[in-house]
Amino acid sequence: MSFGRIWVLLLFVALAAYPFLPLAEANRGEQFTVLFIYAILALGLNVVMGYAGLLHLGIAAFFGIGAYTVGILTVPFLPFQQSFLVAALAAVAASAAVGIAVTAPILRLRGDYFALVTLGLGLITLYAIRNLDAITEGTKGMNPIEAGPVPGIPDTVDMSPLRLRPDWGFRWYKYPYLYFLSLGTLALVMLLLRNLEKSRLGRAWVALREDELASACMGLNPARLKLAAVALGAGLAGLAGAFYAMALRTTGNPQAYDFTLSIIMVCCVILGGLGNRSGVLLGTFILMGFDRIITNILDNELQALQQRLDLNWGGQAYTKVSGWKLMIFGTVLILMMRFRPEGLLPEARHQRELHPEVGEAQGEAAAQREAGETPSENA
Amino acid sequence: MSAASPLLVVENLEAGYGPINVLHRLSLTVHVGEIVTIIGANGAGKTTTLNTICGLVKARTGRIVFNGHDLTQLPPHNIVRLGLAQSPEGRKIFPRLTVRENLEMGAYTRTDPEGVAADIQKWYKMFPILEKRKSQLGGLLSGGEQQMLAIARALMARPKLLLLDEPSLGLAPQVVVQIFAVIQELNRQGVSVLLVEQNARMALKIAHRGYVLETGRITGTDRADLLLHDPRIRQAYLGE
Repeated sequence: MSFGRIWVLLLFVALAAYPFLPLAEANRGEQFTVLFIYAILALGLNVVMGYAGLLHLGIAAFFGIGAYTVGILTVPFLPFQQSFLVAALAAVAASAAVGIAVTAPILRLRGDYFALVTLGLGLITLYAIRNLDAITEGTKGMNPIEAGPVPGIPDTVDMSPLRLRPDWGFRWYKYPYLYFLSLGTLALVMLLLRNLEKSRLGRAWVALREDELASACMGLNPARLKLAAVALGAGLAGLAGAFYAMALRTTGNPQAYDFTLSIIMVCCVILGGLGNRSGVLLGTFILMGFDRIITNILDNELQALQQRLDLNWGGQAYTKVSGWKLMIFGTVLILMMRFRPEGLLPEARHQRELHPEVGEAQGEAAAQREAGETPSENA
Repeated sequence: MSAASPLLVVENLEAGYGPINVLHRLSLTVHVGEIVTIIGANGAGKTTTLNTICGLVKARTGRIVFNGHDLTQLPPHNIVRLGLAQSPEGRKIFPRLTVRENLEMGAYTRTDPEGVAADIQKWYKMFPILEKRKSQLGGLLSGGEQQMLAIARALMARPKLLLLDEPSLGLAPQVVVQIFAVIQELNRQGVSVLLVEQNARMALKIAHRGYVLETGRITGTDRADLLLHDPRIRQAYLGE
């Protein structure tokens, strides 16, 4: 196994060990949990964009539908009050169903039109959430969301005796449960997608992405293949939304599910490597990690530095790293597109197309390997 | 000759795009074991004819019967399953799939992995260049190699009838000769072929029968060798 593949495994092991390390902090753990959730969302988007080759600009809508499904099914002021497991399954089903219902009529549209419809869906969903006060509480968000994990298991299992440091906070017992659950789910999603890529369906998506007409001539049903990709992508996004609402204990402001999130997710997928699972994981961890964790650390460091040097810059946005966040985002993306358009960890096919010389070498090596295994008169 | 049973029967077919009809009451027949060619100028409706037969363009009126099945309302993916495969115009190979993966996609409708693997070896024998290039991306092949790949890919579905759309398009004359030799060899092995071609001379040389298509109408049909010596055809399509 090469390093390119083993690093993902090492990363998961390290993250699973993190809560037990002396340097672990409850807050950091909660931030990591949100990263795992965004990674599930990005992997869902990658099914639609990377595998099936459809530009999807409204993935946040399904994230929102997932979060609000959990909200509706668990908050105390509505009559349902289900456990998280039930709510999460319902969230996946609801998102996939909306994905299918919205996409089915537009399957014959190609290219830009599909992107436009998904863009519109994202906006409509956001406005619907904002204005359906009676169900969604409008801009206040639904809270508190405090369902137990599975029916019958209380959500307040006190794991405090297990903690290695006393200052991990009174919520420590709660965060590893969501932490491990999100991490485990992310790992499962990665495994599922790995198998999917190698399946008949996975290869059919690649062919469809390459050439729709030729695929039809080969006996592939383009409409059904696209629908499968959209449904799976939406389902994963809904799952991520369900975890998100649980992790935050509220659906939060509907703003969290707007167009910006859709675009940032597109950036994560492209930065990491369109179509490459590990790349998408890395891209999400880098972009969202920078957004959610690193800027905060840098802000604090900068603040401390100012105090030590006795400077008073005031609280203006331009004196904080977070104020420059979008500028840094944009610059990085422009530089990426210029120097490494295939992403940090490119999908093998992409790499071979954009850098034929590398691809040829890989191809030759593969041919020689195959020739070694099955000697043939022509090789 | 009429002792052979008809494999494909097209009757009074009309099809087109938007308000415009491209095909006007077009009828043709392909018998088992034949190479039939449709020759005609640019824009005569040759590609539309093939695309309508394989379901990519919807027929407006008329009937397409293949091996006893009515194809007229079937979508393309179901038509392939019935044993009719097309190698489309412009080759349309999957540029970012390897040669081998391209061939595997051709067998998408099949569920016998051993048979597919055996067929891949079979077509490697017929097209040795594909075996040499099996791990390369399809898009990196030369035009002639791509055309061979497109034909082999269509054959992976084990079709009873192979539709070939302009296999000579954009190829050097010597490569065209090779491709047509291959088509003839395939036919000898039992594949029926409906061949659409602008290179009328080459097509008529290997075909058993030919149809002449002019602005969406069949204006003549005969044995290929007779068409090849028909002064009208010679003047209009063979540049004499």
